[in-house]
Amino acid sequence: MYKEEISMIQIGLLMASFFVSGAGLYYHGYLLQTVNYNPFAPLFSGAVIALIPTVLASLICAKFPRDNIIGIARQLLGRPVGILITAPLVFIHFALPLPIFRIAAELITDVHLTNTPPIVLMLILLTISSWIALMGTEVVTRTNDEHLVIIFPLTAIMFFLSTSDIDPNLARPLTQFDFSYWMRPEFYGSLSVFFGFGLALFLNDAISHSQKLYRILIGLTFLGLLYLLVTLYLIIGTLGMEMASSFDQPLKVKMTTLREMVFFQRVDILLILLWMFPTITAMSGLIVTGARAVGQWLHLENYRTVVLAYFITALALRSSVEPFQNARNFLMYLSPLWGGLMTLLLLLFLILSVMKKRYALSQKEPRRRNNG
Amino acid sequence: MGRILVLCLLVGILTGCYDQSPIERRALVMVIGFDKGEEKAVAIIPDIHNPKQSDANTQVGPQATAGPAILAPRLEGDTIEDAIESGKKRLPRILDFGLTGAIVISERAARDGIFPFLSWSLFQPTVRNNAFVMVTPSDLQSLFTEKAKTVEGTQGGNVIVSQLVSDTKSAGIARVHLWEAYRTYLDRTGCITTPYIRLVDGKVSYDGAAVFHYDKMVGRVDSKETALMMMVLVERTPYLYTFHFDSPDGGGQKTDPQTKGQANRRNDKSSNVTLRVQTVKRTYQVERVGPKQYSVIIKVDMDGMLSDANPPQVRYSTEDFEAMGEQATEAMHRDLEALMNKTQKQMGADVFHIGRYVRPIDIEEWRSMDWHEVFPTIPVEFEVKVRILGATR
Repeated sequence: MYKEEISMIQIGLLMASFFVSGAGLYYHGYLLQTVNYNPFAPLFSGAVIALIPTVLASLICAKFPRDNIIGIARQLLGRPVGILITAPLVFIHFALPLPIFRIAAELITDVHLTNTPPIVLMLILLTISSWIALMGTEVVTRTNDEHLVIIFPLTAIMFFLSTSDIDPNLARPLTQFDFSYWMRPEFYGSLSVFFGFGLALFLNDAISHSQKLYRILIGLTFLGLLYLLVTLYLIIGTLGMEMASSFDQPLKVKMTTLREMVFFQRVDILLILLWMFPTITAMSGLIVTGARAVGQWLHLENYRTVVLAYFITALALRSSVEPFQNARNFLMYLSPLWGGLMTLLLLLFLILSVMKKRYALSQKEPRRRNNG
Repeated sequence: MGRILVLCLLVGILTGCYDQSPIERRALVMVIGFDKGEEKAVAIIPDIHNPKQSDANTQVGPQATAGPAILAPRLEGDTIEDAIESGKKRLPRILDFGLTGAIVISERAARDGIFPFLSWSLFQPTVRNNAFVMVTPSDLQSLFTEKAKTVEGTQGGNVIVSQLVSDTKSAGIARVHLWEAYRTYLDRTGCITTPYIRLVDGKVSYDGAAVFHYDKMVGRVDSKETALMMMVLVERTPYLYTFHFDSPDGGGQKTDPQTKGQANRRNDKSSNVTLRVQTVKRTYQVERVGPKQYSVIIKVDMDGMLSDANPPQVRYSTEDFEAMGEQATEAMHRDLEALMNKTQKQMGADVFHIGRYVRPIDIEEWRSMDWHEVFPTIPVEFEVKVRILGATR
């Protein structure tokens, strides 16, 4: 419906922003609180679980090229049911930036602007993110590309510098498992870091190579897993399980152990601030996809008014996530809902599309027989 | 719409306003001192550097208005926050811990437990997690002010920090960061050791390391023991080790035929020699021998050369070097056993962090036991091998 063009790589980079931002802000905090030892087990389990909807999303995108989840729902279920069934997903896209920005604001307050109320920082992040979203999908993806060009080399340097503090013994045992994580809501809350592929479902109509999208979605999930694995090892190899699990943002604590370099007194802060870049663009991605969906429902020529309406509504609702624990819990319970809903919808679409195809074939067969 | 957006974006400027604090309203704390209070529970002694007296101050005013170079007020309170708040009555400044490089805890406070100080510092947003932690028996106010100086005139707490930052190699200093001490306390896979510093005749000196059991200081190891401990623990080199060498050919004073007629030059082979260890390879062999019972062998292999400090006129043969290696091995084995006996049996402290190797063997058992209580009952053996490759000249 909207004439926008983005590449597969840009979708991949948006997913990468999800991983970088999630690892820095909330993922490891949730993960390390799910087990008493060996957090690698829930990490791999989470990746396997997340791979299911990722594969389903790849199939759906390939099956419906140049159409997004809103269009697919309308095509398979009709307009009213299509809207009804995708509305919770759109709501989640709009809701997620609030807790994530609140968590990001906590990070800045913790290490840099100690006297600034986190809510002010949260609103600034929200404003910037909405501003980028206001300029459209292409601007969001291009901004994200540019951010990541800065982020990746600096992250690699920082990680390299911090390896000297690592003691592999602190990361052991690797062959003994604490399976209690299956019963912990934090484990399911942590999964949202893998759900960046959800953006592709909303932007599939702007991608010209939907059939090949599986390479990016699955490839990025593996790369993201690798990034999470490296950061997890950095954390527990340095802080140990007992210390790391006592923090909500252990990667931040790990980075503050970096020793000063040359003229940088607080080099750790630089990296922490750099995590804000992917967070902003990833959230812009969520906002813009939500706005596009609403625009499609309402047949709006321009979805920018929806972004503005969202921004004003988000401002009004800011107090709901003002306490940090509210934001943390909100994200924790929203994430499994997000993943579960996507999986169910994708399964439903897949079944319906197969059934429709069979029905169409069976309709053709009698005609052929009659003709024959 | 554009105006609304611009207005919204201007909110960003507010962050500067919230955190804005002029430099003259700030007291820049270079080192934090913690002590037991005389009248209240705790005392914090911030080492505050006066920017007016800084070498970087290019706008020098009248000397009378400059004040002392370093301020180290003693602020007491029922809690650390209370102490800081009470200090505002005497020093109406914001204590800025952003430049804090070290945390010095008095010995008497350390013997009562340092965890409250570590915990407060770690969760204080502006204190760097990589600040150093150390213990002193000296008066903290004296240690931080002009009463403590180095040879070239650096004074106060800066002495301590600059020394620790620049000297990363010395085996004799048990450098520990705030986050390391905090982690060690929490995971209990070893004991906390910190540099032990004291003020002697106006000079700050390192006098071994303070050893902790849980978070309470229980004793001290001297500089030689600290160096041995750090060499094994973190394979820190170069490590200088001095021992007595008895030459296999009897040593003594022999006259070199080539020096006949010249002044009577000494040629003592049997003497104290200093070995410069260049490479250390340490491995722990930990085995579970029963419920909550473990046996430990610490293997230490090292290569080194005789240091420049040895008398250069003495000519050692290959046999001498071999014998020297054997004698160094024996001497180091003896010293390590003595150190282990002192720390394990007398202090109950796992200074070699053996717990880190025990923990992964059976993590459930580890979680059910208190390593600090089990460790003193564990047999620990050393297998030492010293190879002397020659002399540095």
